[in-house]
Amino acid sequence: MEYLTPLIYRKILNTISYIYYHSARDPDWDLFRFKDVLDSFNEAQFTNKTWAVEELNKFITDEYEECYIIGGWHGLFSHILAESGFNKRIINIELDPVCNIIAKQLKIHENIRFKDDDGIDLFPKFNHGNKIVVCTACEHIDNEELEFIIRQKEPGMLMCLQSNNYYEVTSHINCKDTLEDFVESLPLKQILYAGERRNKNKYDRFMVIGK
Amino acid sequence: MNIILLKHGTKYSAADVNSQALSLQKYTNEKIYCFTEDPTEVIIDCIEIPRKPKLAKWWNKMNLFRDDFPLSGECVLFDLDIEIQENPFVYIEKTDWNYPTFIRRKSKIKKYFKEHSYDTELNSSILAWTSHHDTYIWDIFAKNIDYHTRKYKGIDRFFWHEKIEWRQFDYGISHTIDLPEDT
Repeated sequence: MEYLTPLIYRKILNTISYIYYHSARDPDWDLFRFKDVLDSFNEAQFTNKTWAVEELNKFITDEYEECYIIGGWHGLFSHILAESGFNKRIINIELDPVCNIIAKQLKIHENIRFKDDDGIDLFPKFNHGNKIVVCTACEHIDNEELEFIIRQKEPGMLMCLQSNNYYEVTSHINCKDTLEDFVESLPLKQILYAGERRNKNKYDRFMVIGK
Repeated sequence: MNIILLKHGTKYSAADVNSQALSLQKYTNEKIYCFTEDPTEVIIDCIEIPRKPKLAKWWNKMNLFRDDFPLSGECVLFDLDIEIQENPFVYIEKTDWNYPTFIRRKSKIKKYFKEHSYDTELNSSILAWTSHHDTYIWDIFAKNIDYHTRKYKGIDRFFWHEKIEWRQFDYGISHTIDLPEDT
């Protein structure tokens, strides 16, 4: 029955219906939200988030008590991390409150939370060595701000960061040409993993895990 | 009146700015500025694009509506990819400076497009506005920059679909320039 009833797709269909309902009644909900949800759960997103969870899990030990996601969008990374067995608190921080409302509709695991805020501004509040911090959308974040929080971070904190060289998308303000450029832009003291993947033969996605 | 040429990134060079300034100087004695993050080899006066929030490509036009934009009064922006063929100021002089004013593309008017395609009839290749007068536009944009830049392919779509009051130049202005078809 897996072909007919994968839960995530039923959740997405229900969410699309939810967006339709709200878009007819509330000016904060427009029809682009449909596209935004579909984009956030497309094949490339699944592949890249799954890749991050698989590699990150190799470094997660019992000492880590929480995982914070900066720019959680609709929470896909958190769903995949929870599904992989991570049963501690996972907190998505997303600036756009509508994204968080949508993300809550898609939630299955009880250990996932959503917070309307700027993950960069909030960083000092969760800057502890026993936290995991993930940002799979570094291309959307000002490099200076990203660099600043990495320099401030407590030594034990585990970070997983992704970016890309997909310059054509105009919401991408911090693309990197190569994996080497991405690694160099991150003032991490220890690189545990660095890798890249080609997406749709159009651009490369880079990932760095480190402390 | 201030005339502004926006150069951001590497798509256009200082030579493109200098050349567009020369084209405009045939028709006006008004001061021409380049709005850029890189003034290298630009021969006209430059004003710096704010570093934060960081914006990509044409989205930097939104900075024109910030309350800290360094110039005051009536301003006109010209894109670097339009070719000035006749005097556009004949039409610009008729601008109602209470509203940002755009070229309206006749070719788009009869085209079928649903609202959720987020298409537009506006074109900001020439854009007139009064600095510091319409800062609510920046406020709308800044409230959710990432979403707006995902939703709209450019600022012309943003202006058409968001709650912004604008005006259009007389259609004749289109004949004074060579305008790329799909900007």
